[in-house]
Amino acid sequence: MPPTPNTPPPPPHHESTNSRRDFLLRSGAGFGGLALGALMASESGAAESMVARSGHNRTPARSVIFLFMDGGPSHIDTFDPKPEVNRLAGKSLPESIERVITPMGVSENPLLPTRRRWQRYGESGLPVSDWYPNVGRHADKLCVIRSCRADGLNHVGSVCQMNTGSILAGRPSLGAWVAYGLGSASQNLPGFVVLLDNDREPPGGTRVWGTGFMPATFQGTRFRQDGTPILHLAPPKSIGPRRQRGKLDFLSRLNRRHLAARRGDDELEARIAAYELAFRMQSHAPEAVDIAQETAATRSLYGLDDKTTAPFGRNCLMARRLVERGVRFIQLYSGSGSKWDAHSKIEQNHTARCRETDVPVAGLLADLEQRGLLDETLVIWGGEFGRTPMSEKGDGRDHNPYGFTMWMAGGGVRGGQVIGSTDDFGMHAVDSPAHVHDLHATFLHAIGLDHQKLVYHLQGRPERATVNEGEVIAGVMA
Amino acid sequence: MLAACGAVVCSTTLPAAEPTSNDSEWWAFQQLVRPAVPAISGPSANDVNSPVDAFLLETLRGRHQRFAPQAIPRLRLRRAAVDLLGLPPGSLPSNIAVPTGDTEPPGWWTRTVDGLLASPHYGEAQGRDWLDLVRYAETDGFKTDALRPQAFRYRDYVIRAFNQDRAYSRFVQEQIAGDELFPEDPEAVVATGFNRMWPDESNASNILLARQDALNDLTANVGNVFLGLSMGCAQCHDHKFDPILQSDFYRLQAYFSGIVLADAIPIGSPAQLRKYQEAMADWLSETRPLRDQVQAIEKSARAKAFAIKRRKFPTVVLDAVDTPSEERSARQHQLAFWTERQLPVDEKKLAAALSDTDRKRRAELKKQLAELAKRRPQPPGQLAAMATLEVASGPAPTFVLGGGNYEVPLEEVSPGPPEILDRSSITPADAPTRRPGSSGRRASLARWLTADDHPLTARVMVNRIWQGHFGEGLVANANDLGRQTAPPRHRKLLDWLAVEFVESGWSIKHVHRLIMNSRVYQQAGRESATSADPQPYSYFPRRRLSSERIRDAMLAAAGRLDTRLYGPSVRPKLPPGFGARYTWKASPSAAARSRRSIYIHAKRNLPYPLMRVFDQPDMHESCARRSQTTVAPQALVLLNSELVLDLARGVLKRIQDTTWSKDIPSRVRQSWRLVLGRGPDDRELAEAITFLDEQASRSTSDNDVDRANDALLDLCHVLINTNEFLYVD
Repeated sequence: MPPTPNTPPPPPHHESTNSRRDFLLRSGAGFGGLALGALMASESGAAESMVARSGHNRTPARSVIFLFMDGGPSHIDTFDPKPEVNRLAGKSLPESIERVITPMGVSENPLLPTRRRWQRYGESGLPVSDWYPNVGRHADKLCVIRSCRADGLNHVGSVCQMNTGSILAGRPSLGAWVAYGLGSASQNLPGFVVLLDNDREPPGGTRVWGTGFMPATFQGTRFRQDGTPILHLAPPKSIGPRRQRGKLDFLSRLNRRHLAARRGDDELEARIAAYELAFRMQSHAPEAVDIAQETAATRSLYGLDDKTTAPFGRNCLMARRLVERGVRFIQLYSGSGSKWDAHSKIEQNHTARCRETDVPVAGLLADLEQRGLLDETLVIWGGEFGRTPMSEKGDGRDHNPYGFTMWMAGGGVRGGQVIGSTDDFGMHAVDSPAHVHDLHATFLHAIGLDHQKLVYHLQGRPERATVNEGEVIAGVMA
Repeated sequence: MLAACGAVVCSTTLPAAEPTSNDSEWWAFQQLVRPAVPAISGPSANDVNSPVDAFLLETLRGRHQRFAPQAIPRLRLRRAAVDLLGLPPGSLPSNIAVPTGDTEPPGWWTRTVDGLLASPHYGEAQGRDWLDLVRYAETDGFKTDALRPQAFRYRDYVIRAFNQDRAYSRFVQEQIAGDELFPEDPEAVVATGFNRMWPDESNASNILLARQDALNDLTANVGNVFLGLSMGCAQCHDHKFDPILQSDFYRLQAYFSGIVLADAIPIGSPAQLRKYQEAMADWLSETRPLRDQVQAIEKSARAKAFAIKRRKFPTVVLDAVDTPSEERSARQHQLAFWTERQLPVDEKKLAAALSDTDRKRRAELKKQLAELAKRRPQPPGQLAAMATLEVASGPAPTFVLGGGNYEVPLEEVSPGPPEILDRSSITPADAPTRRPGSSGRRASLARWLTADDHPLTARVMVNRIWQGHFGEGLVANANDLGRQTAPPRHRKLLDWLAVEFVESGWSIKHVHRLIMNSRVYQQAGRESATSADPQPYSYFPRRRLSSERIRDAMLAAAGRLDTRLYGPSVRPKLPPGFGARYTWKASPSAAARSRRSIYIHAKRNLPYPLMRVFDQPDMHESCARRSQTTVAPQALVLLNSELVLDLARGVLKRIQDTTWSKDIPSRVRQSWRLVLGRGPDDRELAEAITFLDEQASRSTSDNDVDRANDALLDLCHVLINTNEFLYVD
């Protein structure tokens, strides 16, 4: 078998480039730039770059917004009603339900009843609890997958798996795979952006939007909420714009002279371009996240006029602006730093978390729809796992990776439907279990990437986002 | 800690493929024989400095190409210094002289190469490449990312081994089985830290899985690092492309199934250790009745007092942790390694769970034990290190795992090399285990790996050394010489170097000399190639400095590089916005913060940001060759970060301190010399003077002196950002 360079997937309608040099210059001009490792290895002109390209399949979605509820939202209190839990409240799970390991060892604990009231919404009559009344109004857009399964028990492994496919660190995140597969449609912004709703990072830190064994070209860039959105975007204040421009001009002059004596070195040229981009980004990135440009109505739609909903709402609104500017993958963490982790006092915890997200998420769905962006934007909601029906500490719920809920909307997904189910207690996925690999295969499929064809060659091993497993979940796409 | 099927359960099953005779014909499995050096005649004959050149020219000649002209001495010196020491020539000891212009004194180059190889900074640069391979880190990773306080000793061991030109065979033996082969040598015991470099979930809920993950990670890493074979796929199924069977993966793993992860290792000669162990056995049997009684009392109390924390662990795990350390089997030691950290014994709670009678009885027994403990035998020597050793009860059995799942053990396997290599006639060196009570499994693997006629070990390493000089190995994937990687472009050259390597006594420095004294290494860059479509090795490939080299070169230019060797790691300041949720307290001393980058604290969950942005690999997976990316965040950090700006200030200060006159041209010349290691040409000088003038007018400082300084600072900062600074010709 011949060596296979890590060429981005061969797209059926790949943007044609006139020459290798042209290709390199254009790729160097993207935020991610290019990784010359592959170039040097192959000498074939194939490079790992952020040039926009089409995927394997024609699908409407161009961007993904992944709403990550960090810490594990309770599925049986939000999108998967379980009357049996309330009926048998205070008792242990019936014998018929298989016992499992949970981090806090709650498998024999009494069932904790839910205090939720459920309402059926829209034409589909999809049930959503009173923690998510505004999201409920978009029920006909949601494809609720109630049979999700994951392998991890702890946060760090599980957040890692929901992002990278494996509970063990070291693999590229899903956003990196999408950037690898599709490049960025923006010349001035990263292809993969991460937004947190508070100062704390999710478990695993920056690695959960990292590239693992892939080049840094495809990594997620965290946009900050305060000051400049990107680290080191602007020079210290003491160096004004005139000095900065003067330095860049002189640098470019020296670099071009250096290049003239080394004709045809594409990498040197790409680096010159990277400096120009760095300067352009100084204005573009702040513009992209400048929500002051939005109307009062829009701001209110996302809940920016309420201090509870404003932090996540601001991120949802930024996400829409980034989608409009061609960013491929935007990941929003709600409760960043495991704040959905309700081992005790789930009423207080989830009431707060749902309140922080309900209006913003509903606003995002409405805004995408009214701007005609919903079809080209896949929206995903979920966490690293769900929670147990058994109580922990009398008023909380433990981690449940054995059965939980995520939903998808927009991006060509058939809304108003439920896929799969858990048992009567929401403990185990029973019908059409959807492992994280299946979810990832489906997310990728929605954005036009075939998880079997999206391959990165590492040390002789063909690596896939789905770790050589997973199937696209039937019935999700319209 | 990642295998082809990184998930717990891998359902992919592929038909088993027996190695065929065709497989054993794959070039990398062939016996190593010294190829004849081709005779080169004609115009290229003058280009032959060494056999290395002859092999390459033989191929180039077929394409009607030859080497590019020799690069000028200054460029060659920079190339050699950056390759070998990771430092620019300006920071070298003054006995390594730089000739000006195009001519050089006879013997200058050979002396220069020897001088660089003798520098103690050599090990710092070469050691870093090795650390990439073994995924070196000083923390566990995962959520807690706990500190490994002794890990830096392994890093120092690696640096020292390169500096001493330790025979590579011995280097391999020490890392895999130093405890067994060289029990009296503290360095060799520190080397076994290699066996513990895997990322580790210290608070794993599933202990059996954590143990299996660690063993899998170690097995795959041994395959990558020493054999140059990608074995990870075989964790779940027979390798799809290479003749590696699933059973091969677990046979290799079986060599390691006895390791006990210890942080205090007895050191001594085999005779001393035997004596100690015998005395210890006596003492244990003498004290057993007492210890058993204490154990019986404590066991039920532990179960009662820590019931909630213990609930999630299965019996086999609880049994391991309840067994006193002295009595544990290897597997129980392994299971207890993860469990003990999660079940700390709280003496107060334990005592509270005892009945009054038991509490009294226990106190009494403990008192008696304390008396006996005074006679507890002491080891001949003891070393605090993150290391491995074994226990006399022997390694736990190893099974082939169905689909890689630890819950599906299939047939038991004994330790053994991959079948494809087992058939070839490798004659292991004679070096049996010397630590009494150790199984000798790892010693036998190490012996087998370092046999002079092993087809892979030497090829893999000379290929890595070659890659260090040319950016790419003769085999493109230095961690996989299997069928997924193209055969070497110059197989005869690779084999010739491998034979030289073994015959020199596995001397790495010998291979550097062979390569660097060749013409191919001393050529000018692509623009000087003699052909419009130059073949590889008909010019010298330009490379960007690695992340460590960039930082070290900036520190050197600023005159701040602290060149002290070895010791605990340092923590430079983090950029704003980092570190809020990490334990990363910047080192108090400015000198410590300016030490070479290899000494920066290697925290798995927080790689030092400047390193990461310039492609330092994620230390979860062996990295055979770094990516070399060109991304905007690199430009941003060099252009806008306070870190780099401050280093530019260092350069400015050096100019002010060393340039006597305030004469502008002298200052410009000095800035060029400090940052780029050369003086500016006339045009550069003139343009720089104009730049200073214009830039001063753009400054918002309120007096002429400050404005002039701002401009000179900007010049220094620009020079650090140039491609000339960041690339080596």
